[in-house]
Amino acid sequence: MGLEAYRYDIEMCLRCSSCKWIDPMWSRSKRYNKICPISSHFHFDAYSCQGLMDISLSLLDHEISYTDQLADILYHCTLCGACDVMCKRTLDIERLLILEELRRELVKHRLSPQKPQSRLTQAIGRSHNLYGAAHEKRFLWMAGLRKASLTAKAKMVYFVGCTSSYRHPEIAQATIGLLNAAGIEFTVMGPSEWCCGNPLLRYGLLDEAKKVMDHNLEVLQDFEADTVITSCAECYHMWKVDYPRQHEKKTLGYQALHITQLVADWIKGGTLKFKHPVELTVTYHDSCRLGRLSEPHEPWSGRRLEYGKLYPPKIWRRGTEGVYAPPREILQSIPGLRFVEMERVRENGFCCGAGGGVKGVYNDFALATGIERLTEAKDTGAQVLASSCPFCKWNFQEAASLKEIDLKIMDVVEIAAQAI
Amino acid sequence: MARIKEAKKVLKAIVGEKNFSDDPIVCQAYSRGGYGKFFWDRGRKVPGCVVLPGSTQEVQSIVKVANRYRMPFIPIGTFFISLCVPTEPNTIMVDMKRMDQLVIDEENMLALVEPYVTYTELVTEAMKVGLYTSAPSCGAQVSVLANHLNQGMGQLVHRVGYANRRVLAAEWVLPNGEILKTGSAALLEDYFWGEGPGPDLRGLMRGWFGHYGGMGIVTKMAVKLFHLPFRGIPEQMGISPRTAFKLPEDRFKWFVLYYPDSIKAVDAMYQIGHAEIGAVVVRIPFIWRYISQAKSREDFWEQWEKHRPSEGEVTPSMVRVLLCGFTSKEQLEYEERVLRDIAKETGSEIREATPFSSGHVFKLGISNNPAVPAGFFGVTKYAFDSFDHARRALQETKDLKKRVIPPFVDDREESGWMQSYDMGHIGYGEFFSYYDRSMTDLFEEYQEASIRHDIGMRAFPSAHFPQYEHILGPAMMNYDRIMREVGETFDPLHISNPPRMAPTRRIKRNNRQRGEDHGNKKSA
Repeated sequence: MGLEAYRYDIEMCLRCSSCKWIDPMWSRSKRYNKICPISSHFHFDAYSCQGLMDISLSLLDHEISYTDQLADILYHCTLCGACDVMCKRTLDIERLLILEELRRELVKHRLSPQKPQSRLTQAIGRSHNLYGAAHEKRFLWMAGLRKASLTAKAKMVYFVGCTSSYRHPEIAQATIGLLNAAGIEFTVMGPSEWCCGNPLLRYGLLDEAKKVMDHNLEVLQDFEADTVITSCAECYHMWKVDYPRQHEKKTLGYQALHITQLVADWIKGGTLKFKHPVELTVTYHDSCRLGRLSEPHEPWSGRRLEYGKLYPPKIWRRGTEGVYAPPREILQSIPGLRFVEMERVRENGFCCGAGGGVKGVYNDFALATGIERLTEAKDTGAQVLASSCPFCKWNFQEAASLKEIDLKIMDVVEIAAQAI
Repeated sequence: MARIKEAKKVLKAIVGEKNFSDDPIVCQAYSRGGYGKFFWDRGRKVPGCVVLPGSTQEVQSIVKVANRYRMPFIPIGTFFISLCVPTEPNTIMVDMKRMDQLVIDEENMLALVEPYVTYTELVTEAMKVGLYTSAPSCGAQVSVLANHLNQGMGQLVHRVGYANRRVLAAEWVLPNGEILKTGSAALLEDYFWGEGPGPDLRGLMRGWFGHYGGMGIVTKMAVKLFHLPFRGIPEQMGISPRTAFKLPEDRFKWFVLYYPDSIKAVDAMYQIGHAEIGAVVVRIPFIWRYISQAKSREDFWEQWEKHRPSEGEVTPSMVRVLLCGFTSKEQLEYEERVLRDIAKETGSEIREATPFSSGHVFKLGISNNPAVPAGFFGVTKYAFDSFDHARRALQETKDLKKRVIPPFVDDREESGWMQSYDMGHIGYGEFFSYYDRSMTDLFEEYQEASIRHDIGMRAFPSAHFPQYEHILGPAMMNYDRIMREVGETFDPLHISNPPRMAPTRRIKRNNRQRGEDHGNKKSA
């Protein structure tokens, strides 16, 4: 769209700093009151949505140019969307879309971090996964399953994703176990599955992302499936929000579901029962793209009238309908499990630190952010930090190991699989 | 130039490399206003550098460097109010984010705060020990210290008073770099007491409406806290954007008193003050019923166009009152009886109101909803005197408003926000103007016309507008001359957020005195 298309939104920043803090109503301590990783770490206002809005306006007015420093700021941002949701508590303006647009501009100006970018494009272009690992090994994890019942012409496709395939196969294995236990007919894309495109899109590499997205959509059509299940928050967001957004649609005719949504429904409906107690104290981390950012894309075109009114009215994604309840319902249904909440939950969740390409470009910062979240988890007295995303798990595990934080990191499906 | 380069080297040495930046991109983020954008930040300059001090000693060193190298400096908290936008080249932005220590003294009911403690943080921690203070209407995300220095308006001020009554001792780095401790902190390492010794320096430090960093940097301040009838964080509810928390129903009750016009409403507000009941007493403009409930701007307009009063129709006055049984349930019951008597005597309909917005008066999280109707808003009429004055000042704005409505949003309002401070000893009034970005110039004209209008009716326009001091000064006992004398005494080089402390001051640069006054007209 170009940054100019967001001029109105950019000008509307009133500098209130709400983008840096959680919702005051949900504040439970001074210690855990901040919501923006870059702001709380770097302090300078440029490292915040508010600062980036001021910078964007200066870019639009040609007061400054795109520079390496701007790239440094922007690529430290995990694009967690906390600023977007906090701003939209009162204002009808976009924030995250502007940050993503700025990334695309940096790519155009060849100012995005070139080495990581090149590694990423080569890895996905050649091996169809962000790790550059052999594509043939993408489904090697299935060999570890005692039993996996797939149905050839199923209407439900389990999209495994790169991180579960190559880094955390236990999540994919647990997901399959739950699907089988619930008697669901499903299949997987197998060698046809490519990276969902999330790292490319977040990086600002729109054209490259479109190629892999189009491929995956074609594969889905070939399977004649009407439902995509994922166990990764990033893949979920891609299928649910970004794929339709690229086609300027709210939906592309398939339903995208996260495994936790299904499992929670099965528990309520009696299709799945938890028989074995899991004697653990567990707290839950809301992954950004499963939580506050998971409302569907709402296409809009129209014009702006007097007083900034939009015609026709736009539906704003404010984070209200995120997937917050299902993972909690699962954990709270498991016998013997003691569930405790962190202070920053749901739409106020503090990012794991890995998203937005940060893990690939600024791993130190990703780990520092992860440590902040782990500290919060530890303060609950929990033995386990559960999440619903292998990317979150990966960063948390690495951070926990670095700082020797005594906290087990697990996915919700892993815990649920122990209980069935 | 070499002088500035050298100064930056010294600043970097003071705060450390990672707490200093003169990168143009980083500095750009400190060059614009927020509330008041595009008109209060006219003549803005990009600062020369940004520093993040971590202690009072670092702040002092920074201010001394600023003096030595004659570089302006501006201290900023959360920087919501835009009168801290740099207007001089090579300005040092002193960003206080690393100074965020908070200590709550439960026994003495006070909090000692550094500049980057927000109201959310303070009220959250204070509630755990059964204490609170009034979060301002600009939102709980703002700095406690900065807000106590500059304004301190929030709905709970009916009982707890305006901020100038809530400041205790302070530690203050003067514009020349000396450290001054006020109140008990001057004698002891204890901030519990604000008065004296000798003259009460809080008048210099903040006066009525503060100096926006024009009198150095306050690095610590003790603020009063007040007793709550419960301890702990109240039950929190809702998902963004509709969030709230629940106050104990046996100790808190909201009421709304409905009047056909503001005359009786003001009468009731006085009586409530005389009776010394209530925690919040505020007359809310009719339009706010729709602003606060709006799901979006378009939703606001749909509801407003359906329900707004007809042109010429007098808008009803709603007075919202929060009663609190601070000491006991019996106190709440007593106050309710008194309130109902007042309602009867003043001829109002009284209804118990939803407690959903209770949390907002303690920790207002939605500071920007005046932006709902049109995107931009500004306060164009302040009254800070008595209820009668507030009502008159607001009502007599009718003709003035006709000059700007349209294109400004017609709020169909014969009065405005009126709020009780100090049990009715102060009646505060303000009108919001709701306008579009394209109407910014008109807003500026309107603001000046409003000030002249106030002067004409011998009102007391708030000193919120230092850029109009060339108009206000001569009309208000030449107070700007006192400001100038104070400024020249404490900040002879005029580097503490120029042009604050009287824009009519002459600015000295290097060893040369500029012939022209900075920015505005000369005072009489």
